Amino acid sequence: MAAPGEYRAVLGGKARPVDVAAIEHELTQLWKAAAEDTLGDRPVVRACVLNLVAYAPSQNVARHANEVISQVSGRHPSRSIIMVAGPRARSARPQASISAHCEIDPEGGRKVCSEQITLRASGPAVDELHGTVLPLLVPDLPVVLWWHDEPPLTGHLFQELLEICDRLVVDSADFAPERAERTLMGLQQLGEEGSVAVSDLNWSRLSHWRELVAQFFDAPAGRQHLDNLNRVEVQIASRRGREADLTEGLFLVGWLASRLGWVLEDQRRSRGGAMAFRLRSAAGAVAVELRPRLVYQEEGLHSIRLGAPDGATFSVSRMPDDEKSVAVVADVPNGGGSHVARIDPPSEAALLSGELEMQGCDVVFEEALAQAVRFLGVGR
Amino acid sequence: MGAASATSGRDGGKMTVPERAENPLRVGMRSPRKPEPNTLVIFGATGDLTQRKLVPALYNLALEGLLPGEFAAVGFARRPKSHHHFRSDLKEAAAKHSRTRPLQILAWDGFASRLYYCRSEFGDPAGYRELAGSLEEIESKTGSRNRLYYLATPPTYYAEIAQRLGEAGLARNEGGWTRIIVEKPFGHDLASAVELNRILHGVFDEDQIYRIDHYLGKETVQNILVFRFANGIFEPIWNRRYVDHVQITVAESIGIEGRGAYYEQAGVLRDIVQNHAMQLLSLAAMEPPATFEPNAVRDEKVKVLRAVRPIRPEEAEDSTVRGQYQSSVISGESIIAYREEKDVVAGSSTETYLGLKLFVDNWRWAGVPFYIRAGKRLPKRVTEIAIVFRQPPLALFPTTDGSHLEPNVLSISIQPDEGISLKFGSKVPGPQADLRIRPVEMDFRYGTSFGFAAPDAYERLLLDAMLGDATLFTRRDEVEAAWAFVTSIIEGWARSKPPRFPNYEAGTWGPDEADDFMERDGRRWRRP
Repeated sequence: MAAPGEYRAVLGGKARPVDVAAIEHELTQLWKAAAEDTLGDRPVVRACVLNLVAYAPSQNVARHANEVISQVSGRHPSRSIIMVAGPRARSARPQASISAHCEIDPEGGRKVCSEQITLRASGPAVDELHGTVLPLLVPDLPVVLWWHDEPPLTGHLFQELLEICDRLVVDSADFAPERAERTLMGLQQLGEEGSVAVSDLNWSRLSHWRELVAQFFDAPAGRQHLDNLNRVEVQIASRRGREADLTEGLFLVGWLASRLGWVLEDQRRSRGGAMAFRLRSAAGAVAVELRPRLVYQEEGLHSIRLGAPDGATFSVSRMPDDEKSVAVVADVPNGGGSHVARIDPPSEAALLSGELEMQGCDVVFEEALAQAVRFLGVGR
Repeated sequence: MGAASATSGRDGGKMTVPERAENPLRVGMRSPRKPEPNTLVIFGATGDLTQRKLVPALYNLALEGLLPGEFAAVGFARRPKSHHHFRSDLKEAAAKHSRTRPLQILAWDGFASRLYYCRSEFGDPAGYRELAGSLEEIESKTGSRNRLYYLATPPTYYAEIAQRLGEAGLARNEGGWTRIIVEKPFGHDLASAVELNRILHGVFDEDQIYRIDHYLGKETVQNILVFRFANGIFEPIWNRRYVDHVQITVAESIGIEGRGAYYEQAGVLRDIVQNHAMQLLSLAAMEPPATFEPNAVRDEKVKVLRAVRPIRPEEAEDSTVRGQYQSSVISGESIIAYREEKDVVAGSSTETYLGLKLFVDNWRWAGVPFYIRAGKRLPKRVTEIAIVFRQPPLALFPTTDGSHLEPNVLSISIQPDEGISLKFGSKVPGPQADLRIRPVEMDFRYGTSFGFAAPDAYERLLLDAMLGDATLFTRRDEVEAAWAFVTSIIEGWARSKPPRFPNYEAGTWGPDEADDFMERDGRRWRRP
């Protein structure tokens, strides 16, 4: 057994290399030493509300994942297990270390800690990491798999981990454009099968935008136009020389279509990376256009503009001089209004934290995803 | 509350997205719903409540992006001030009292640019005409005619302000909603509460009136309902068959903080028991509501208050124990007696401590006593509901010293350390032949489980009022039912001999009579 000083270092954030077979024993010793209050002047409380299993394809990504996990651990104390795929095979066995993320609880006094296990493997051993992860899961708590890369839908490790997790978290902004459609389809199927809830941080990034769009139709003056919308124009910011990623825009249109009962009527592609197609609502045709817009700074959604036959328009668009602010403009016959809203891009930790709060499937996302996949697929 | 959800459990299959959302784009929205653009008018905008609670709460809502873009606020008070002076005073107050510090200047400036001031006496019709003009001007910029009035004045002005608003045509408007928040105390007895309700209803409909009891905005108070009705294991034992008695404690370590004139008229019965304690009682004792809609929840709460067995005036002395604190020294600091406080009558018989026993005469609680204890200058600030369970039917493990096993206690702590704990007996480790049992506590603390500070109660309640969600506000019949119970006790006390005050030292758990009061029933107060 290690000396109390070594455990104190672990609770201070230092990783302690341990034998894979002894991980659970080492953690027990860590918390026992903490409970005996031998580790300093503050009582230490271990807290755990879920198992967070993260996959990182490289050491750099693992460092980033570790940083994000430490930021969410205050709100979601968990047993986190980071699997790191190494560049070359040093050993057939995974290497393990334990560490802890601690915060002083807001009421003062106690130090609330959650534990982290890092497993490093290379070569064929990566594919077998699930065998090491499985016995380390805290019983009876939800398992969230955060795949910090484009998920290999048919990969052995991925498939094995899907079997044990309740929620899969990915970020479609990381998907290679040439594979995005296929991967999104795979995720949609996973969601449809219902065995695992699927979260996409790229969808969560749209929360501010969705909120601002929804606000137009809260009051009766705006609500009367919602069922008659006939035009949706979305601009996606992209830098020179880079292909615009339309996924966010497709999610946004997919969300509108699924909430408002619009169905896809036809699709055509136009030049320059733009996409245009027609949907049908109960009131008639809805023309949709997504096109890239060249920018120098922030990529991602640039604007959305909704139009109705009577000339009413509703738009949210980034300010030219401050890309973290948007102009929110409702222009309706005999009225309307405008204001500027702050739209700070959420941190990855904030996005992940939001997903960890979810229990069960996000039906709204899944329906928006299904629509987005349809928009991508028809006409091919 | 009651927001449409679009998540489902894995086992239960996907649920149908609820149809009731008026705006279909709101379904499944994870960010808290923002209210429609509106203008808040605070009457008594230079007072303590505005400075300490309302403005810090509004600032924090703005900081978290929970206020609508076109939100504006107008301060209405008697002191002469410019808009600029008003903003500057509130900035100082927010910097001092906000739960998030330091003040973020950009966020404050954005918020403060929409703060305005209107000087007037509360009874002067000209002031209301000026207010109407200001609202028209603000609304021409914001494009919204939704209005929320907040009565943060001394209660003597409530009726007058409501009437003046009505006369000025400000109680309703065609282009938006109009609501009014009324602070406690709501009346000083049943007759005055009924009269205030009558006057308010002459101007506003019940669904426009939001009677605030800030206790209901506290996370743990809301959690009482979640704890009881979202967990399958507690409700089956939440009744007379398993519960021996319930203790509700609302203890404060501070004195009356310079509010002698008010406290002389109120006492702890009116100040704490009629509102906070009766609200806690109704939440702890209520039946499950049919839905989590405002009126469904409030229907069940009011049923509890109606089922409380009245304490007739002639029973008041036997069913209560009163106290008043005397001087003391706590941690080297001299504490003056209540009667020596500013604006308190020398021979005052106002109670600063109250112990009370009541029964809820319904199927669930028949015969189970509820003990309420509230007071000033008690050893610590603590609010809790403790459910004390019956002993096992058979003493299988005799104790060596002849003592009884401790009963199981489930305590719900409202403040300051919000959480829930369960006390149960456990074997003391060791090989002794005589098995020893000791009580141990299983603790759940909000701070350690969720690791972040809960929003202030006023933030939640202001937001709810703007959203039109009245679940956490008190309805007319609730207020009147609570006053009906309390007024009978006040009448009984008025007929009795004045109590021998002072009778407890500041910094103790009340008078000795309070312990005797419990011992008569073979019970004792918990030490929270």
